[in-house]
Amino acid sequence: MKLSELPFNTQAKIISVDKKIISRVAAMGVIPGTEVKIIRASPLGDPLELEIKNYNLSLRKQECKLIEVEKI
Amino acid sequence: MSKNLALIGNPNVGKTAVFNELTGQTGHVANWPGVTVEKKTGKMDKEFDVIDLPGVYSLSPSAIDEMIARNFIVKDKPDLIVDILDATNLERNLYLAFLLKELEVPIIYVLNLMDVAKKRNIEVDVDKLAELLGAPVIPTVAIKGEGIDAVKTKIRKIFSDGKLAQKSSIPVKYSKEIEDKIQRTEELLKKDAPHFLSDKRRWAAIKLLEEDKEVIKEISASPNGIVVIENVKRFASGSEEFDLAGERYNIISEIIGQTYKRDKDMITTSDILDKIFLHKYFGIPIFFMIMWSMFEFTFRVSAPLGTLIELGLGALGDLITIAWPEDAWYTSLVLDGIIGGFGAVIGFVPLIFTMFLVLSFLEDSGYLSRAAFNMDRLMYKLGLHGRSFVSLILGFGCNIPAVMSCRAIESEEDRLTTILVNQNISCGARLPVYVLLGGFILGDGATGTIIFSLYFLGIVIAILMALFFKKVIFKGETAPFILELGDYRMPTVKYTGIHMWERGREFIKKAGLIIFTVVVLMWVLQSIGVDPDTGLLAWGTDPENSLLAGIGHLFQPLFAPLRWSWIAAVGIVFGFLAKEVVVAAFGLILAGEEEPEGLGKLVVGNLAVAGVAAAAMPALVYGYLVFVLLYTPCVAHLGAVYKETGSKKWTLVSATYGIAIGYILALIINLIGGVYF
Repeated sequence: MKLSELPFNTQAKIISVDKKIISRVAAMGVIPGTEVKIIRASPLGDPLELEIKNYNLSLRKQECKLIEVEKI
Repeated sequence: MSKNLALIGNPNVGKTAVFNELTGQTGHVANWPGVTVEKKTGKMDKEFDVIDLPGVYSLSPSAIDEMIARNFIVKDKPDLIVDILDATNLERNLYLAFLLKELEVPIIYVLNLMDVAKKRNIEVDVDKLAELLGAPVIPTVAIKGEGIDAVKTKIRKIFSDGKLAQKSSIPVKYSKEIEDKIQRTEELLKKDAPHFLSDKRRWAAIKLLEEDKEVIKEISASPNGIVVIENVKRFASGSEEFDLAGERYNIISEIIGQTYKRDKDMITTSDILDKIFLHKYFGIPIFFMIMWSMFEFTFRVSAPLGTLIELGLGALGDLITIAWPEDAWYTSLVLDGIIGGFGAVIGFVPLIFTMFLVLSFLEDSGYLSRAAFNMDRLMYKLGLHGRSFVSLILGFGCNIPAVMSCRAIESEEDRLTTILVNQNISCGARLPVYVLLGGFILGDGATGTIIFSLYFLGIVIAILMALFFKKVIFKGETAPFILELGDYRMPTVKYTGIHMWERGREFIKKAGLIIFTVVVLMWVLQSIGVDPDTGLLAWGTDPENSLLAGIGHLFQPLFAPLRWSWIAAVGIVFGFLAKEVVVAAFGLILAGEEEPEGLGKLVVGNLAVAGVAAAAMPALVYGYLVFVLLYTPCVAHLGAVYKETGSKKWTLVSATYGIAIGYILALIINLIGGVYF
């Protein structure tokens, strides 16, 4: 499933990241094999706050659509 | 010869504190050549030049900051890199550490924020980490100065032992598949481009495999460079950037597994604060409350200090009146020019400093990234970026650093739009004018409301202009929003103070140089005039006939449709040099007149041309304030816009649209307020 569809507070693992954004997000730890969890959405619904590699990262839903994950 | 130490690290790891502790705050700020990214340099032990590189997550060529850091390391070849790591977030911080290792430069690691790590029950095996990284690791709490001596000792020892060999950093070994590709690329480089980055051939090979834009561009320019690129393409799969990132993190995970223990379920203070500040329903009201208290605090704290300065200057003026001859030129210079004009500006120094203090506090606390997170959706609808928001907030202090801060915005269209709309955010320098005249619109008690309405209007115009620029002129895609929500930090008195001072210093410099010069210039123009009897220029004529009045009369026709007097025109014309001067101009021109109720009342009495009804004055004054809000903040702002956009066209757009909108709005306000009837 896409990361944008992952329910909140559900642990998942990244399967793939679209090439379009990989160079931007790789340094932030968003790479296949990494565990990720959505903590919350911004009060206005977007962007999302993720917990990844023990820190908090914010991405918009449109970027989360480019990240494929599976629940674990 | 002095040695170069370069500090590098992720944003928010306490790099500034390490820099200050190493250099004993001897640092000074300049810009990197060609760009307006700040370059801080300082001295340690007289023999080391410490260079503070921009805070970065990686060394990719897509961001200006990252390219600056990378170019400095690759081309300027510092003698030692000091990489600062956040002990509470080691895993991601090690990514940059590995990119630096690939560069095979002499390096040491500073493991900062050890106090926070300890509080979170994080255990780090420092010795093991140093062993696995192949370079010294020194734990510190930089903000308290702990561990800094150990860092200094280590640096001195490295240089005195001459152990600066590349071996202080063991090259990273990747999987066999990747290593084969790296080796093949290295061989190609050796054969066809032997001089290309010959001392960093392995790094060049890795970057070629990653299809790094910059390295490809550079090698394309060298003889046979194209051949190398073509040959690499034969065996590269195109996913090397991806694979390498994965492998780096695999190695990092292994290191973390061996050296780092943390309590996974521990709830940190930051988590709790985020539950409040990012709350679904309360997040945004809290945001507005914070903004509102920021202004409230600024005004309340600074008001008594401002009054104190005014009283002091008043007393000084009285002394001079008694002690010095009344008709001497220097008495006039000091009384009218310096105390009347420059003093009017100095009275607002506490206000501007308090504003800087509050902004520094917000910035250092980590809240601004939350504000960006909360507001990104709204900004996105306007075609902007959450980061644009942070730069807009900085504009409340001063538009110049705000314009400069736009460099953090990746997309060129977003960056230009944010630069161009920033001028509508009311900076500290405009505030004195509002405070001086705001009480004459709806009465004294409503000054706060009037000031708030002006700030609000500025924001509305900024939003509308952003929509216009983004939807009509630049129809580009908005860059992705990738923002770390780092831990909240309680700002320390020392560092918030330093931060405030670094900003305030710029203001003082500006006040000392530009404002003082302009005020003295205005005084000279005021003192020289045309003698009505002889028709010649003479010293000490009636202020009505002075050159300053002449300038006012020259420009007044431009403002005649607004029914503004020549005095109002002088304020606007000189306010173009610096907005603080508007108040100074009034103080100077009206210094000779008596008004027990103060300068504001006097200005209002002289702002309009004859024939404007007293009942219409509030509208006219408000229109004036709206114009002051919207026209070019100052010459220095235009300079910053020119430097950042590199375009005369956009600088001109910035100057003209502000004036046009301000003028039209003032006209409309006059119409509604009955100025013309």
